[in-house]
Amino acid sequence: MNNRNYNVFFNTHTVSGIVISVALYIIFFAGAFSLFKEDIGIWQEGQQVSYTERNAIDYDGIFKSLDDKYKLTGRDFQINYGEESDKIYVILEASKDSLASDEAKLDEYFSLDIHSKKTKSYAEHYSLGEFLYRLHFLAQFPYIGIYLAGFVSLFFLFAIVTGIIIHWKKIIPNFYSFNPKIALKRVWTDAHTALGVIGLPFQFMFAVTGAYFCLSILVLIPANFLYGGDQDKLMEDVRPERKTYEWVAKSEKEIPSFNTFAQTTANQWKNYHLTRAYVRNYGGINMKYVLTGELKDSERFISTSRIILDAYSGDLTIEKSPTEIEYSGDLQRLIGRLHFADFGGIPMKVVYFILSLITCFVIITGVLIYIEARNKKSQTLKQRLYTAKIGHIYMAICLSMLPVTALAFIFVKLSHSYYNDQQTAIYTFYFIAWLIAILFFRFKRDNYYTNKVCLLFGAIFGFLVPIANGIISENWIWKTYTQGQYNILFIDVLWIIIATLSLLIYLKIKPQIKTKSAFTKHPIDYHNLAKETEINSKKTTQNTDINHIEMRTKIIILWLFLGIGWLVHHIYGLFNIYYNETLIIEGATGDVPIAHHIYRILFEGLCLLFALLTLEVTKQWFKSTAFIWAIIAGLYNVYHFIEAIIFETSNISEIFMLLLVATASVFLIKNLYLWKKK
Amino acid sequence: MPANTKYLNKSPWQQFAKITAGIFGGYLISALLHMCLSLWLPNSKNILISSIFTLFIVWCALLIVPFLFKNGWKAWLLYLFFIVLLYGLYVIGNTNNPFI
Repeated sequence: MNNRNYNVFFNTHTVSGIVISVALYIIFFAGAFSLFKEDIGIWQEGQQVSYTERNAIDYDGIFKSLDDKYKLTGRDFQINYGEESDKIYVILEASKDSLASDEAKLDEYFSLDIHSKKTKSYAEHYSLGEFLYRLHFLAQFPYIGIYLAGFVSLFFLFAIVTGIIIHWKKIIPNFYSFNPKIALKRVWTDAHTALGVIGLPFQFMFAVTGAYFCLSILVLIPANFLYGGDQDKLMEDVRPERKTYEWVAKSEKEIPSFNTFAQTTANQWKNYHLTRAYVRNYGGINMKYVLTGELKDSERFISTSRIILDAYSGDLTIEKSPTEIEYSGDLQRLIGRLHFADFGGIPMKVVYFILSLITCFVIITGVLIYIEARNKKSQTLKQRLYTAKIGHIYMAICLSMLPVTALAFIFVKLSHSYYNDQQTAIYTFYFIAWLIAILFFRFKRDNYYTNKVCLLFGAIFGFLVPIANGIISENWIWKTYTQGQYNILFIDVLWIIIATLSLLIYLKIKPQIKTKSAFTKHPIDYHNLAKETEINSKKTTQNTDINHIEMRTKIIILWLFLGIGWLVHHIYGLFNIYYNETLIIEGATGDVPIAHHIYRILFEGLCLLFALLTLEVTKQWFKSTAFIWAIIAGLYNVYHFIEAIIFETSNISEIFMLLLVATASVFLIKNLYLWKKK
Repeated sequence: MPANTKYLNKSPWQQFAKITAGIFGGYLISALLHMCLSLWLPNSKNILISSIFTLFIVWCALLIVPFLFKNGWKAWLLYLFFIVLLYGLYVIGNTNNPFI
């Protein structure tokens, strides 16, 4: 490869890596724990779990109790089984029967205990496992989170491939020269390439499957074109088990037994277990029961099956038996199995867990190499401060996840059964604790310190996790061991191992390591920063730019522009009246509503007020207030512009004015930010 | 150790061209390619379902290609050519031998 291409790829690898690094770290760290999502839920609950074979569940009894509570007639619904416990998750869809009550026309989602038949809403059965699982595709960002995670996956794939391209020649030598003992000495660069190469197949698999899970819409769009827009047909081919049937009429006969169906289905093959149950058109004359299942994964790796029973006629169709292969369905199952380590039991999940944490380490070392390599005398102070800041923020976000996660485990244990709405409690606690940690480490500005403290507290909180579990739920390790409560035991043991390792690494990292850092060799003196930047700024202010406009003049003009822009916009808004609309708004009484006055004062009056005050006031609080108001007004302006494009396409002059106002808002925010900083 | 800047094109417009060519052009080519393959080859449904992962791999390759160009707009030109070509193949395939 020629020098140019090498450097270009090197740069794309660095830039794409740095851009996605924090999100990717969060995804892998949270993802590692969400492998044990269900165990965490059981651990948090703290009660002994029992496991009933799926064919032995009393479906008929459950259906009856659900029917009393939710009125099932005319509904489609789906039952997902928890893997380890006697909990099932029920998704009820709105009734298709036109005679159904309003209550029956609501969708429902809840968990249900198969013995007591008690239901718990989503927010009530929400566990820390669910939280971490959702965090691993950034679902806490409303709407866009999952797509964000998808694009992080795609760029992760990009970073992996460009990484291979640039390290191609070194892959084999690096692989053999990787020695964890020596590695501690040359940790960052060597570990980044060596561990990157070792984890490569695993990371490649995650990048591809992660993109599939989050961005499947981008696969469905082209498919939709091929199907000529027939989405039902497309979904039927892609997810045949979810096929729905039209509602015909209510049947007067008694509901046929699901129990017998489940038992006969499950007994057809050896080592076969059920994975999901679907009921279509409950209580309708064409009611259908659908069961999907699989053989044990030691028997056959891919073996999804699909069996449909026409409930009233008793016609049984084996659409797919577990012993045959059907490419389209099995391929999706394969991707799911690979992504969620849904094979090989706990040992495979542990392997995945370790590889995930190794990937976290590769990400961190990548960021460290980036900031180290850019702290050189040849760079200006501003550039060096910028990279140092990136380093401090990134390290603070990433490394504090360990102690915060451990602390969250203790929190859910201590607060258990105190909060009804688990979801809000976990959200609030996790994000506030994390934010405090991030802010603290970010302003401490010492990556060595961040690392040390995070490891130490990770270890302390980690050891406290099994202790908290013992005190609150009396699930001491020896007790859960003798009682065979392995899910609960596993989480405790996992934390003891993590805590021990954190403590060992904490003790192993000596201050000498810090002296090797480029930041020790070329330190940035934060205490005298003001002096240094002053010298820098003096150099820059002496320029005699003929295009220069004084900052305040600029801001005043922009405020005036916004105010006038709004006035003009209102006048243009009246434009339609000259041509086709009546002058008086429908329902007008002759009085101007007070809200309208307030509205005009907010948008025209305040712009002019800020313009006026900027002439006289230069206090910091004023700058901050102006900045905040400019942001609020700016957001509204952008929103209003987009709204006008959608709803008032014909009023071109008004839209143009709104575009100018929105642009002026952006300039204003930028200038106020600069003014505030000075 | 950072990449040697003398080889890098610092112009923001060039960077913009390369990145957009990779993201938007790359996606369109990748999607159209899979649509054409499903239309023109046997076992169309299996090809279509394979695209749940091959689409992302092809897209990733197409994200990289524009960076080989010195001029990003030329990469766009090349991508546009392929988009038009594949779209033509798709239209012909779809009229002669519709998917369903």
